[in-house]
Amino acid sequence: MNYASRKARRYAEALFSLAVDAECVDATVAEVARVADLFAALPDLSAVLAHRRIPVDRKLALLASATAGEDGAAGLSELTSHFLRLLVENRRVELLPEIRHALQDKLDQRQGVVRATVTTAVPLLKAEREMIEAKLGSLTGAQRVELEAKVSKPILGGVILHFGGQVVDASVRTYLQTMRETLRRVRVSEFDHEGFLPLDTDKIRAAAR
Amino acid sequence: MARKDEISAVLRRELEGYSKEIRMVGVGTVMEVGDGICRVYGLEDAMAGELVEFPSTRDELGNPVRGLVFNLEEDNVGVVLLGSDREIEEGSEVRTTGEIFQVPVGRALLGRVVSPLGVPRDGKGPLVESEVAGYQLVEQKAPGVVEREPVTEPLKTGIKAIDTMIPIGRGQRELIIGDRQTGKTAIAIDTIVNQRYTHQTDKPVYCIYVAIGQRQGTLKQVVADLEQHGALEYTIVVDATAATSPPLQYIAPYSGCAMGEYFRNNGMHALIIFDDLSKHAVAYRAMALLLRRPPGREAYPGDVFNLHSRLLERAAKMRSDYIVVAAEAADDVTEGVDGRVYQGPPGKHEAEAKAQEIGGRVKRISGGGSLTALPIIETQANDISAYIPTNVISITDGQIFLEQSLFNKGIRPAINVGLSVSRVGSAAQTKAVKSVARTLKLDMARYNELAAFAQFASDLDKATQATLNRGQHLVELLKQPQYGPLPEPDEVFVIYAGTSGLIDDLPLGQIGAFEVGLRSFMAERYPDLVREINATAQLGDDSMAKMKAAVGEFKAQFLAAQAAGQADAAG
Repeated sequence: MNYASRKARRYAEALFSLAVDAECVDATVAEVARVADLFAALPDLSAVLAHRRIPVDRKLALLASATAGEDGAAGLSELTSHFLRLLVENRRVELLPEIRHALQDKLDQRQGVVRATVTTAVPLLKAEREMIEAKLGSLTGAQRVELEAKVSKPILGGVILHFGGQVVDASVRTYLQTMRETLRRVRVSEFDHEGFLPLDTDKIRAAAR
Repeated sequence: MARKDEISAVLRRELEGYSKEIRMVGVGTVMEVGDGICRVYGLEDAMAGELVEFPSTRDELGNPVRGLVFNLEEDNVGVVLLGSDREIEEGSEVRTTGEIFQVPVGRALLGRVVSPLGVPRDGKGPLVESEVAGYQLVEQKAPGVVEREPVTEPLKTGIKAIDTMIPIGRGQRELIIGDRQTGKTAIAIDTIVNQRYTHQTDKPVYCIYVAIGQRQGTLKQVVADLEQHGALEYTIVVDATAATSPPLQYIAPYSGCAMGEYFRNNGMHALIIFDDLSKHAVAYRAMALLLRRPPGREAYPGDVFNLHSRLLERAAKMRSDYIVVAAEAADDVTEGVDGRVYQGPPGKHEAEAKAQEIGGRVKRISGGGSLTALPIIETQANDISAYIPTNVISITDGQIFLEQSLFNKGIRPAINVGLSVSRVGSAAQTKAVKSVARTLKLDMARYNELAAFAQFASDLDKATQATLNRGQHLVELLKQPQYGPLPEPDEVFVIYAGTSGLIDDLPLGQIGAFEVGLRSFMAERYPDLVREINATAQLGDDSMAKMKAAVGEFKAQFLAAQAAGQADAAG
């Protein structure tokens, strides 16, 4: 899940609904992503576009030349370039990365895609990966599961699954940590001087709880 | 090695019970963090007031740092941190726990100094688990009208001026208000110390002292004083001193209240002191401003009234439930002969009538507990019309107003009798005290009206002079040292000596000696009067006459001793 502020979501909403009407949702989302990548790669460009003392018409000219098709690649669609002009005019260029995430979320929602991250200590086998995808699909009712696999040695074993603001933590590290906390709450001072515990485990368990 | 084996066995059992269940929890990511506040995106299923965890952090006990969900906004969640924010950074993960803030309650906490989270801070080891009665939500709704009954039992402070003129009842909320260094905390501590006598009765009062935003050193001194006077054993100290983060200071009185409610809800009595609510409001203001809640008057957020009213409403006297049982019924009977449960004071009336009719007796089966609150407010330059003082004055059932000028004149406790009131406590005053203190407040009021003329005393008429003289003697008589709470019989004798005018002709400088002498004289020579007051809390006509004679007798003896002393000095 990526953060998108309220402002960004409003812009994304507007663009998305226009794209739906024009039946070019995928293309638009991809274009916005491309522009966002371009801006991320050229921090100077976004700095100039966001600068308050540079006149809007100069910014628009710069934007036009920066996003014009070159080397045979197509330029931006009319919808996207209008959208970018609007952002520049409204001084909201810095929202572009958030808008991109918001658009992606909306697209995923429309296509029934669930994005998930799976973290394991060793790389997943293909079968395991497919199993997780199938499980996740049935759990969330998603049409398609986009699984991103990460490897992290410190979790020792097991899996951690992140999807849509939820986490399923079945890692060995968390398991051990929880166990440590549970055991630490058993009070050794409950033992009598001979080292025997009055065997009232209910009490201990209640305490641990 | 038996010991090792046994320990392993316990640990094994523990592990067997340890479930491998894996939960799905909500997560979010930290956007910004600072000043004990953190903004998080995600956490879409978080509840208001829920505890969240920062799994990447560890506090000094090795547990993840926790936070409290405070603001639920459209695109982010405002979380106040209950621990250090040092290890939390942008991008840190936050997980929901599904828990609402709870603290341990029960007798295990008595005699302990705990943090607002219920964790011991006195270095005496963990709480005795067998005495922990359970965990209580920190934010609780105050009991409704049906669950309450009017205040009827006294809560003795042991301070003459308060018990006679501004009496406090169990379940009352009485504000202690005054400038810095006027003895506010001293009154609260004396009241706690005085509750020691209740632990010899069947209605002991347990005390909770919540220190909010105070100096660590002050709290340390308070705890040492309580310990020295044998009061710590029935007291819980909640430590939210100035070094504690604002969120913990904010939560501290609610935690203390939850601990007190355990006693209240189980038919026992408790006294809670919030020292002090001005600093509590300041801590809440800091939090609210950091969370960008709109500031109102004096920059306090809009709900600062509710902050204190919902807290103080939790102080209450709970309704008693009675049944009618046969006269010879055993003590553990829980069902009445007519199968009815009589509720509250009207119920008791009815039950008594019924018991008389069938020749049985009335038995209380549940309820009857109380939680008395003594909030403290510190004013600036005696300004009781500032925002927080007026709020709390309007919430409480009366206030004890302490004044710097009185304090500096040596009148301690420095209670301003004119501005101090108790709105419900007089119903709880015992007959014995009432019978001797009836005219006290009036005498004091008359005196205060005329006190400005005291320096022209010789030019005034006889009646005015008498009023001034009486007032001066009463003021002298009401002085009381710290940690010197008086038992009820002593209060009755001493106040009687003052209001009856018996000491009007004594030199002012000798009043203190007279009081001390009178108390030991009565205890020695008239133990039956002491016993009567202790047992019945009232004085019959005969006893009244006897007390009158006894005080007169002591006065004669005292004057004779004084004269002899003077003669010795002269000779």
